[in-house]
Amino acid sequence: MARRLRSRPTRIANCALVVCLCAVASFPVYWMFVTAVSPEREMYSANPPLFPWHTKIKAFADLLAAGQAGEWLLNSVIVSFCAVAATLVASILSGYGISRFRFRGSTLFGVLLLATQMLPQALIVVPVYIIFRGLHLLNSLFGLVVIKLAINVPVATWILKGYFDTVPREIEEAALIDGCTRLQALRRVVLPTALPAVIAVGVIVLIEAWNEYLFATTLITSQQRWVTSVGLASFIGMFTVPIEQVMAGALLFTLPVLVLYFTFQRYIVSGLTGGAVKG
Amino acid sequence: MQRRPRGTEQHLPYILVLPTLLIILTILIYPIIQGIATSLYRSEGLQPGTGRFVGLDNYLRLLKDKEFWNAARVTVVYAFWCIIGTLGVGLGTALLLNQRFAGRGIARVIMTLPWAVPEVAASLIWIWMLNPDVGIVNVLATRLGLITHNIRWLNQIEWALPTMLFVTIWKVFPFSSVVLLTALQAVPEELYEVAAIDGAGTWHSFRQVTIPGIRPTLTLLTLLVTIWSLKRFTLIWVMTQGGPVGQTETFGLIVYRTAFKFFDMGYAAAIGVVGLAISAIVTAVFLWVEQRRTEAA
Repeated sequence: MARRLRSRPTRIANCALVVCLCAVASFPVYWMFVTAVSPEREMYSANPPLFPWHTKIKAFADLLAAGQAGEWLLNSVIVSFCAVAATLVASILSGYGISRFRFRGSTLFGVLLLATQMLPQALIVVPVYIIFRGLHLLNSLFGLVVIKLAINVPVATWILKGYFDTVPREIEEAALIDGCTRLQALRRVVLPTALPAVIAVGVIVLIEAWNEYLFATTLITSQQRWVTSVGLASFIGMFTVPIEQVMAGALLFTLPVLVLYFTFQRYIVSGLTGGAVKG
Repeated sequence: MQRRPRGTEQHLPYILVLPTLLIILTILIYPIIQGIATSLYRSEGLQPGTGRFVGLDNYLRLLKDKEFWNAARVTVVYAFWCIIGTLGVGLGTALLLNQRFAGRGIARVIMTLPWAVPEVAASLIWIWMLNPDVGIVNVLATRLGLITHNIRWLNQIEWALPTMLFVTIWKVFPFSSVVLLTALQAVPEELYEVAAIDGAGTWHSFRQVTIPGIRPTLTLLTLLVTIWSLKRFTLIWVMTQGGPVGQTETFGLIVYRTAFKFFDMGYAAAIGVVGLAISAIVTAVFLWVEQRRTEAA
C-alpha cells in the first residue's frame, strides 16, 4: 500500500522529481505535436517555440494529399485487424486446449510457447525471408499477417489459458450435461465469461501488429503496400519532406495507439501480468 | 469431477492446439533450422541452394571478424546498461509514485507515454529532437549553458551508444516502474513498522524490508529486460542503423546488415545462430540461477 509521506522537504523533493520525470517522459510526445502544428520556419529558427503560438494544421492535409500516407494507414489497419482476427481464433482454441486438457505433450507445448518469446526477430528474419520467397508470400500483406500471427499467438495463448484457468469448470460441465459439445460450450459459456481476456488479447495484438516494423520493411518491397511504420521510417534522411509533415504523420500513427492503450489499459496490464482480470 | 474423454474427445485437445502448433513450427521453429542449414553454405546472392557447402567456414570466419566481436561487445554493453538504467529509473519512479500525493494518478498516466508510443514514431521524434543544428535538445542545452557547441548525438562515436541507451531507457522504464510499483505495494506495511520499532532508518528499512520484498519481481524484470535488449531492433536500426562505425551495432543489427545490405546470407545466418545460442544460454543460466536461489531460500 502507498506510504504516507513523512516530512515537508521530502514531500517537496518527491514532487519535484515526479514533475521532472513526467516532463522527460512526455516532452517528446508534446514536441511531436508542437512540430506538427507549427510553421516550419519557426521550428528551424534559432528559437523554436516551446508552445505552439501559431498553429496551422496544413501539414496534415499536405501529408495526406501527397498521396501515400493514406494508403499506408489503410494498409496498417488491414494488417492489424486481420492479424487480430487470426490470432484470436488460433489462441482461443489452443488456450482452451491447454487449459482444460492434460494431454501428452501439453507441457512441451507450453515450454515451446515460452521459448518463442525469447527469440530475437532479427535472427529469424533471414530464413523467414527465404522461406516466404519460396512460398511467394513476399511483398504481400497476407504474408505480413501470417508473420504477425506467428509472433503473437504464443503470448495470446498464454494469456487466454491463464484466464480460462480461472473460469470454473462447473459452468461448462452444466452445458455439457445439457447436451452441448465441447466447442459449443466454449463458444456459449466460456468465451462470454472470458471476455476481458479476449479484449486484452485483441488490443495487445492490435497494437503490436500496428507497430510492426522489422518484417514489414523486409518482406514488403512495393511502396503502395507499405505500412505506416515503414512509410514514416522512409522519411528519415529525406530532406524533401518538411519536418512538420513528418511529425504530422508520426502523430497520426501514434494517436490510435495512445487511444487504444489508455482506453483499455486495465485490460492490457492485467492480461500481461497474468490473467487475473476478473473482478 | 473429471469426465473421462471418450471417442472424438480424446483427440480434441490435439485438434485445438493444432493451428497454433502448425503456425509456430512453420514460421518460428522451421526458420531456425533453416537458418542453421543456411549458415553452412557460402551464399552467392539471394538464391537458396546456389551456395557452396562450406561446413563451419562461416563460423571460423566470424571468430576472426572484428565487426562480429564489436557487435558482441556492443550487445553486452547495451544489455548491461539497459538493465541497470531501466531497473534503476523504474525503481526510483515506483518509489516516488508509491507515496500518496495529489496528481498521483495523472503522473502515472503521463509516465506510461514513452511505453505506449510506437517505436518508429519515438525514433522519428528523437532523431528530430537530437538534430545537431535545429534539434530542441541542443537548443535547450545551449541555452541552459550545458554545452558550448552542438553535439552530434547520434553521430559522434562517443555519444551514439549513450544516446541510444538514454532513448531505450526512456522507452522502457514505464513498464519497469508499473511492475515494481505493484510489487512495492504488495510489501506489507507491518514489516516497515517492525523495522521502525527496531530503530531502522529509511535506508536500512529499504535494504532490509523493501529489497527482499520485491526481489522476485526484480529478478523477473531483469530477465525480461535482458531478453528485450537482445531482441531490440527497430529503435536502434531506425535511429542509427548500427551507428557511426558500428558503435551501436548489436547482434540483431549486424545480422540484418550482413543479410540485406551485403546479401551474404550464409554468413548472416551464422551470426544469427550464434546470437540465438547466446540468447538461449543467457536465459538458461538465468533460470538456473533463479532455480538455485529459490531452492536455497
